[in-house]
Amino acid sequence: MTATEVPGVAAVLERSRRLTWVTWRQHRTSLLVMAGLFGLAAVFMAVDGLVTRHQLAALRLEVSRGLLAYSLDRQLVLGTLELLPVLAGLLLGAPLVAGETEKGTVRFAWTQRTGRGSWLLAQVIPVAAGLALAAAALSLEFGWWSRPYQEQGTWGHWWFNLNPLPYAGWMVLGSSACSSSSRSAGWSCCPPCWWRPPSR
Amino acid sequence: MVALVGPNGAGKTTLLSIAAGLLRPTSGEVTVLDGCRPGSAAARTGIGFVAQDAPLYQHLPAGDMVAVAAKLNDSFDADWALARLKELRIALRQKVGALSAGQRAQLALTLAIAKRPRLLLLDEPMAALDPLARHEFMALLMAAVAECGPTVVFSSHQVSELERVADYLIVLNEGRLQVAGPVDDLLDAHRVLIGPAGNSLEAEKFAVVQATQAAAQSQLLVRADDRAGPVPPGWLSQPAGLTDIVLAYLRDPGQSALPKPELAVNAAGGSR
Repeated sequence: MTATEVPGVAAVLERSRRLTWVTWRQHRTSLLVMAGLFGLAAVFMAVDGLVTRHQLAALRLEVSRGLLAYSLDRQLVLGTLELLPVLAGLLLGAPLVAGETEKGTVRFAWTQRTGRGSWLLAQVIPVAAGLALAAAALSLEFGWWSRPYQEQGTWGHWWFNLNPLPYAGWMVLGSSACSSSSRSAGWSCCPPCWWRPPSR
Repeated sequence: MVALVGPNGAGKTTLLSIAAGLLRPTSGEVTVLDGCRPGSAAARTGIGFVAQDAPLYQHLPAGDMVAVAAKLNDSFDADWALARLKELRIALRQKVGALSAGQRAQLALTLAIAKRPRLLLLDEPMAALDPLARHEFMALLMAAVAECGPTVVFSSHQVSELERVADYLIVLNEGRLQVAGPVDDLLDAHRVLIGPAGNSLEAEKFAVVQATQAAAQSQLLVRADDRAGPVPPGWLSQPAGLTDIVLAYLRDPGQSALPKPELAVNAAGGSR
């Protein structure tokens, strides 16, 4: 009895591996799309950051004027970056648990040997962790990319630093079991997700 | 093989969902597999459940759906499931959402059986199927029962299709258990009496479940227990069909036919 009811560490790891595969298989399209979007943002910031630094060094621009005009374009980029959490909530968060509740497939998933507790953990943790890691990396890169603007003071302190926390927040809100797709979408747009930590 | 019959809203889905561990009863208690709590690890291992409309991941190919079910269970006969899909001519790369209703039901049943459960709960699995698909579904089910021998609880509002296969019949009505018993016993215990119109005097000895008066004759569905004695002169006694019996009880929720009344009272009370 105890042998079957208290599984060893190896068994737990093996089961987590199997369940994570299920999560990956179910959501791999949206995960790949999200990874692609994050990748695009990362590549853009890397290239653009290098170009900006090169130009600054070469031209020795009259910085306060020159960068101001330049940075206006970049504010559009910031707007686009701010859409990433919305997309993360819609693409990854909402289908995760809310989508399954809505389609009734939880009636399949929760009646298998795994049970709903492990299933929920295996659905939410890998995606949330991956998203937080990606967001953390992106926010580091953002800090590097935006440094020239911040050093010149063209962007105020209030500019948002991409932060892992809002992403995780989006995810959790999106995946909180909403019963209809309109409601899941509504959740993804709800104000707490727009919370960001105070800038340095 | 237990048939769970009742009109829409009788509580069949609720009862099966409780047994599968998806819902908690508001009152009463349900145990499965010799005293297991529904939803416990032992119950989830030993029960194969096909929910109404056979919910599966529409965007996954059938082969991957088998892999998902295999990973969600500790013991799962994936080879058997894949062999069944081949027999059913379901291509492994075909998306679940692109399957016909019959194929999807077959796939869901295959996944439930491949768990090798001791108890198979099927919630109106054939409701959306055409007659041919029903026949094929039944064939798969009966073959699996013969092969692995699980107990099957099967809900439906179609009595006729269960008549040939069910060993035990449960009629739920308005959340209450109305009829429960082995099909053979129920068939033995009921007769249809046909006699002269307006003459119900002789029939008073019998427990009448339903009386139908036509212009020239009365037709009574009666419980023919041993005390009733022989059929009165002028009356014709015929065996009752299962459909007649079920319909007669459903029309009159006050009637009940339960093997052990003291145990059966509100046995389904937890289903509401």
